[in-house]
Amino acid sequence: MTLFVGAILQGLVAGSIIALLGAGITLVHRSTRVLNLAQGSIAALGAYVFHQMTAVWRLPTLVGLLVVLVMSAAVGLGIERAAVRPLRRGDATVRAVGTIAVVLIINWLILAIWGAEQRFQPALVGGGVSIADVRLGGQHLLILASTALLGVGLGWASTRTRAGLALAAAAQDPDAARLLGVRAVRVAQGAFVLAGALGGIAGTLATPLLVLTPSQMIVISVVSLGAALAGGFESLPRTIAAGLGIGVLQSIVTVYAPSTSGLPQIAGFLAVLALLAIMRRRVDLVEILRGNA
Amino acid sequence: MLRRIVVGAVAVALTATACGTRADFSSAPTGRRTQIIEEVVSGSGAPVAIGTTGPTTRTRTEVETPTLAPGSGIRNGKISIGGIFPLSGGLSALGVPPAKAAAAYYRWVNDHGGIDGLEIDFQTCDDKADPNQSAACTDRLVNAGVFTMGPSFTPFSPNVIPMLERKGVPWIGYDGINVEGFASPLAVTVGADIQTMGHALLPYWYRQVEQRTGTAPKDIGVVYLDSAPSRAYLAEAKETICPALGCRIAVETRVTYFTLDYSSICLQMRSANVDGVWIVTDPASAVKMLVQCRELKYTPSPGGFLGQHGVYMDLTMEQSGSFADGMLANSALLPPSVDAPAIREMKKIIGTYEKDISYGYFTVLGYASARMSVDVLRRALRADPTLTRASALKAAGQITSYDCNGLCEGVNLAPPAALHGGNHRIWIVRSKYDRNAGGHWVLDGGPVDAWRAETWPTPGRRS
Repeated sequence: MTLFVGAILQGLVAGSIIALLGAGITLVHRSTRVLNLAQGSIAALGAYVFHQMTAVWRLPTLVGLLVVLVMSAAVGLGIERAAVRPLRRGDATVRAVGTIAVVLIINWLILAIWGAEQRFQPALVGGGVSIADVRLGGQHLLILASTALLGVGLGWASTRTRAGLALAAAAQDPDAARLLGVRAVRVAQGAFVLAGALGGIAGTLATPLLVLTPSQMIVISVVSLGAALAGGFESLPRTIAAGLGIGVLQSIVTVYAPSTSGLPQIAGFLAVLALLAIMRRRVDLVEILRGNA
Repeated sequence: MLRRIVVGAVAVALTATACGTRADFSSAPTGRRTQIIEEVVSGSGAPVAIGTTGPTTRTRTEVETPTLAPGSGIRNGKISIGGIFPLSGGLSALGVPPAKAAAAYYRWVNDHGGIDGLEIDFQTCDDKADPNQSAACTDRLVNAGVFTMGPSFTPFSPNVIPMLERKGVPWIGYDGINVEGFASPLAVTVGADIQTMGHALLPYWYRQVEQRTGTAPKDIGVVYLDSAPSRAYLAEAKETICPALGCRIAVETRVTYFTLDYSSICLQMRSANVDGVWIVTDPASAVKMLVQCRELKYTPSPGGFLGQHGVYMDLTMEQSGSFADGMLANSALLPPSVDAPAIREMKKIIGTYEKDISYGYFTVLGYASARMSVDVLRRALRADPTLTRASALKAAGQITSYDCNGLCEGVNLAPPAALHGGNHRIWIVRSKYDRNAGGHWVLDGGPVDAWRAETWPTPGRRS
């Protein structure tokens, strides 16, 4: 029982990072119809910048976090300006390919500045608590708390603020939103800025439990595409829930099927695909029963 | 459309993730035929004596020595020695130090008269830890006419040895990590094969824990990288070492370079109540394992964590801090943090030419390999002034107790190393974290004779 509870709690920690990255992808897509494949790269860049600030230059953690937030948001804005807007007349495929260019550029930048060697980031906080005989370290708690806070904050902002409503309006009906005075460019910029900041935070939070390499966060971001897929690239709550679910599933597979290397990483995504297939069949079945097929 | 793009892209990425970029260490050199060869005729016609001790994984009669190419690579008083290292890319942190250390030692030799007057021309090639680049480097260096391959660090190069065998070029100063090299009649190494490492480390740890706590670590949890050397390590422990000691591998968890969730593995080990956890992975995976177990405050009792190729994991101690204190590991060479005359001399020689170098395991490896190649070539020259690849290999075969100038002990250099267990006298090191100096290894025991410490059936070394 303890093992099961532990697997769920650890899965929620890992899933939080997946959820944050997935939320960034969904946020951009629902507002701009652009699949931002550079979300993991923004996270990696954020992690490196935070490492430079706090581990190399020994600046306070809060200063590091602030710099990462500003930098990641600026990178998000830069992606919109340099890689997405020039391709706005292209279809979804073209715009997605534009963000792949950003992945390569950021990767090159990281290699040029920090090199390819592995780096390590100390935990941001110490301490911890025990729940049902399972310990959660301070870093685990920080990740869980940050994700909860950001999830609630995003939910509140998207329904209660003017900017959030503009994002939602643009997502639901871009033409109607434009007629109502919502400026598409501003909405796109806002989505990229928010997504960038989310990416930077995710990278910074995850790295103390991992090894800092240029490609590490990209692996997580690939899994987070599964969360965004489960959310239909539209729904933030569903994306976040799916991210957490994928994390838990990965953790359970790791614990109960230890000799299946590679399976934990793909288990969550396979589950999402299976779920979507089942849902699609259910929809088809309902349509058939209604006589619409 | 969007879903199709995502699913397609992700399927490709996840396939890569699941498979990892692991190297296939299992590719054994091909083209060997069962044949008794006591002597081979080199290009210059000189006879070469091959290993004189008994078999390990293969019987002696199975070893065939490829025909050696005539001795080239010596021109105008210079002898060319090749070296392959990941000087850039993801493993450059491990490749640059041995390259610098070897270059510094060769420079020192040249400044002190060379190898009996022959100046060393050390030609290096950057393989970026890419097996295709390793093959390209081998081709380039051999075509450039190197006399022998020398100090190198080529963890992802299963095809280098067969290429060199086909070309008839010996590897004197083999890095001792790639399993395939131990069976090659052309590779001279101070390294030790996986089985030997396991036979030194596990019994030592088992007895130490038993002595210290009164309880032997009978149930062992293993976290291993999904690669051929790790699997070989684990198989040796399960099939040979543990049955003799009375332990068992209670939990085995396979990981890849992309495994991120080690917390669940720590939980799993804790739930299985293992007496100790043996980490058989690359350094980065070991770091992830230890820092995530640290967050959970999980240390297996009474055995704690056990490493492998200890000094291979310098980073592990630095990052996990005092949490890894007391972790035992094994090493074919003295770790650079040990205060010994051999280490001091190494640092003095390298420090003469290299100010910007970190003294980790790979620095010692590069230095020891370079030192060995010079000692072998010098010995060959003195035995026969007409230096050929065959005479160099013959000289190596006659050195049955080499000490790397104090960095190792009693190493039999006769190739193939698999015939005599390679370097079977292994140092056991213990991790120690010092807040001011960071993590380092201290000598805990040794050199331990891996094949004589216990009375089990020895499938490996026969002597």
